[in-house]
Amino acid sequence: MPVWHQHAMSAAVNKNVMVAGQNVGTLTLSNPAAYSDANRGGVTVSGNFAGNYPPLKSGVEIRWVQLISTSHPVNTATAANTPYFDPGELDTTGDNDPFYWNTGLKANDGNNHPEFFYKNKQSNSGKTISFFDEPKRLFADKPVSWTAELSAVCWMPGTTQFGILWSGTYGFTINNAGAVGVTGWNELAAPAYLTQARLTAAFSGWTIGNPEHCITPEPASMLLAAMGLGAVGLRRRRAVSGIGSQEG
Amino acid sequence: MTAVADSTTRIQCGVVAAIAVTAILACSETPRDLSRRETGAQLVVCLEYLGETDRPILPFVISDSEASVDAYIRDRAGDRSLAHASVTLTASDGLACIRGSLPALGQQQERSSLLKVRLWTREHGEHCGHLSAPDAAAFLRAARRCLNESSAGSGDVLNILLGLAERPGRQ
Repeated sequence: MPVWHQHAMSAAVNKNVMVAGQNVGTLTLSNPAAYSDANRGGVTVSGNFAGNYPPLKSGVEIRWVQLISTSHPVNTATAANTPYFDPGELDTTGDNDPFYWNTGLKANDGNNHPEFFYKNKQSNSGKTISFFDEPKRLFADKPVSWTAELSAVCWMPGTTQFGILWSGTYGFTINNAGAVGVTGWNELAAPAYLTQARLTAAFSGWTIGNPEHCITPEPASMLLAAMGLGAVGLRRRRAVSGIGSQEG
Repeated sequence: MTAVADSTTRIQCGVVAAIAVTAILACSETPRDLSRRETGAQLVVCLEYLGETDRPILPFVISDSEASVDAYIRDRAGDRSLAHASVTLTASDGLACIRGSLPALGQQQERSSLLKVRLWTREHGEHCGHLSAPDAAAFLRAARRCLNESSAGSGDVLNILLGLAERPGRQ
């Protein structure tokens, strides 16, 4: 009989995410909860990112990038305890982008997978995107360790670059006695698994950019820039008229 | 055969947050033969993958009536996994075809179990059993044929399950 470890959906992470002093959205992630059934143990986590437009530029999308390091990799040729992108490269329900949810409706297996299509994870006119994961490993494989590094990123469709907005880790273990342990959220100042080298190795041509490219400048900054341009223009005009008077 | 609308619909997870605190109802796994009791209209079949995963492999719910699916979800209100299920509506004969393709179900979940099959009707509630990889693969191939004939495009989730059941080392 399945045994579920039931937890209330308390938000372990609930925060505004700032880029260059501007609030680009609210990140909410549930407290990771232990999962177990007759054969498997794991962890359940869900959440969403509600983007603020502006300062996020119109057209920019929020996506999730998740890398996993585990004693028992699934759907990948990556060695144990070495980070790999989720879904793994051998998961034919994935696509050729580095994101957790698929960019297109059709996956590498040639079938439509609405359950993995990122547009189906969006709400609020595309401003909010949800996250859900429930990784599982067999008790027969104990001991098991599984750690995920999740990043919320901003991305302009059609490009092969994203900026990292937030990163954190969670995970689970199955010990020799078959007990499932959960590791709660650990927020990171910068991702450790998601590196440019690892991104390039798995998805050639993709780059990690500055998230400031995803936002519009603050009004104050724009005013200063406008004043600066105005001053330059004025100086130029004076210089030009000065030359003209000398010539005349 | 009447083709019924498409419907790989998504049940929104927002509902689950509200209901997640309620107790989980486990399906009754009685030692009797489940083979032919839950038949006919208003049957709901739910297929659940039992192997290891990274990204979730969602339960796959098949029925011939949206009302039956809604009633099933309500009846299983505490089951978080159903909140993310892929739902396919098919013609009644497609559903009967799937039901007829089911082999005898194992009562206990064993190490070799790959697929959990839940059968639900308003009258009898839910009963479930398990299939090993070879039995699951044979059943899923048959179910895919049943669905392809009655609801185009709905075999995608079955293909995922079939791919997992046929993976080297499973058979």
